[in-house]
Amino acid sequence: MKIFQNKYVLLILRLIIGGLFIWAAVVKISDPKAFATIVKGYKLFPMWSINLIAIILPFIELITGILLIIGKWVRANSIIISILLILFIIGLAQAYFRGLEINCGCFSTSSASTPSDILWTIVRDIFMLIATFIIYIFSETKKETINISDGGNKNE
Amino acid sequence: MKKQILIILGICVVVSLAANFLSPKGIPLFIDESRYQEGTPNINNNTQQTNTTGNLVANPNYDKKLGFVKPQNIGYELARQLHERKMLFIDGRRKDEFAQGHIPGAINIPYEEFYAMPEADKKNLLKDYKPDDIMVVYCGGGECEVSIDLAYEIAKVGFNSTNIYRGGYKEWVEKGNQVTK
Repeated sequence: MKIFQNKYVLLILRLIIGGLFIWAAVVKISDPKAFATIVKGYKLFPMWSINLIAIILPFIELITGILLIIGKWVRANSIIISILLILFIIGLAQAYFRGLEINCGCFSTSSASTPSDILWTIVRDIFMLIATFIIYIFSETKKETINISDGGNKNE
Repeated sequence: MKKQILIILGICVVVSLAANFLSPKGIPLFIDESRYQEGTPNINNNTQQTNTTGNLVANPNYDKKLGFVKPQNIGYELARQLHERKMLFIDGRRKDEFAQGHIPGAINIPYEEFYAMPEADKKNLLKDYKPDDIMVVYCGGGECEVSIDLAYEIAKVGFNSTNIYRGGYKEWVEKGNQVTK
């Protein structure tokens, strides 16, 4: 576990998770209508909420992704990202077990998913969740956290 | 930290709503649920309605806010009957999907292409059809919504008898109907 106390390992994890979130967000923001259709496909949310989710969710991904990379409020961001990942995993799992023909809508708004795609996506999200937990646990604010916006100085 | 989380989420909500408002690709905050419900099909002779009142408002499906007759969702049975009566079927999927198989007699108008056209081109593309010709727009079925979007685009340029067959190609095949490849 000591490896995770290494600030560079934590930085790399932050870059990976933050980068993936930004990527996922940009794809969704570029086509909100397509993403709204995907959200609807999960059959989890009431009709009135679909467009609000499709509008707001990608920006939560984008902003938390950016903040995670620049190292601002890392632990608070890790919590938001973990909650999102847990929600994604629940959404995907219920779609899998209900046999819904969904488009995951994770990193693309076009391609449809097969059941094995969904399983693979769940596994990927679980790995991302573990990485985010590691970031949360080991990025204690009082210890050294690399803050890119501060030119690599200690955070707080 | 609780405060930080709330600040981040607050910023996200404000930024996302502002971006959606400013973006040309922005979507309405709430879905118009009537787009998905089944209403009275647009299969009446709308011309007569127009003649007697001299105004399209007489059509019960005319939507004042939109300024055109709203396309209506129809089920499989009616779709099949309209197909038997040789009504116009419009496939809103991409060309390659259409080529792999479609409802016999259907014409292909890929939604993305149609949407991007100037209004004059849209009218020109449909110049062979009269405004009150009954049309049935469909796409792949399942969660696909291209049929709804395309039907609204067609209705917008003045076609007042557009219907949406949401079961789409998928249901058509499942019910054992013939397809053209």
